[in-house]
Amino acid sequence: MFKELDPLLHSQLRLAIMSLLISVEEADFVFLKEKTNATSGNLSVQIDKLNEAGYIKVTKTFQGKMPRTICKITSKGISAFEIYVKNLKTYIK
Amino acid sequence: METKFTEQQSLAVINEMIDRARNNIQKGNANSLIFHGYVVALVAIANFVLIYILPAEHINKSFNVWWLMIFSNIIDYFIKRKTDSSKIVRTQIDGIISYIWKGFAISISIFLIVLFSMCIFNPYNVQYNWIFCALITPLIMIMTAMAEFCMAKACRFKPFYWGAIYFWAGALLCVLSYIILGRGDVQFLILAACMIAGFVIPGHILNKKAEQNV
Repeated sequence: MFKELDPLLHSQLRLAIMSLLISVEEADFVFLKEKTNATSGNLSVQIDKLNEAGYIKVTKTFQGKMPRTICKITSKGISAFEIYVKNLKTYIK
Repeated sequence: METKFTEQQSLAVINEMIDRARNNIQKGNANSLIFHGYVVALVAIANFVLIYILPAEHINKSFNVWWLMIFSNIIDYFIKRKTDSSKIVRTQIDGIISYIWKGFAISISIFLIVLFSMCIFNPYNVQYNWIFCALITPLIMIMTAMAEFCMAKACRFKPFYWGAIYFWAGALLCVLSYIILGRGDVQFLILAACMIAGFVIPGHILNKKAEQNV
């Protein structure tokens, strides 16, 4: 029996962001951009969607005069990611 | 624009991203290690030189050069603060490494407090101060080796394993030099060599690797 995959995570860029954030404590927007090779605009939109869903927490700060966006996965995000991977396994088997 | 993709692609994305995050070494990560390597090596050499420069009755004062370590730790604090503030990612491994070195610093501090308390108070007037002094450098090197060995495992960086081995070998050499030559001053040269081989060189290799990763 195939279980439905979370539509919010079943998108290449959002899944990439979540996979990166699950491996680190917190990451800067620049780091996510470097690792996903996404454009700033697209990345920003997907980060907002994950933030609205409560999967990640976004903190905006300043480093000197430069604005910084720091993303951190939430416990809700970790659970959603774990369920997604568990459901994904049923398709792969 | 969103792209829908297959389950296999999804799994590939997860694996690839986790792998990219894991193999992330950032430029400047080893700055603190390199700084400490140079400072301790220079202070150890200065201690060695002072033993021969100072008049015989003041040789013990040569050890005062180690008070410079307090200033170096303050400078190191600012180096770390600058590096941390410009970090674009913070991993769990960073936290583990930070805790390893904090544990190391606490162990060293307690070890020195215990040792000097025994030497200063010495309630039973036992004549063992000389052996305590001869053991300071090898024991600090053993603790350094252990911390570096744990760090090597945490960040999966081979030169740190070698660094740990140099420190362990250095500790043995210190004791051997004392037994065979009957001299304690050689320990400072061994310590300086180990700091360069165990901290400075692996640190530069790590920074170089980080530059290539960018």
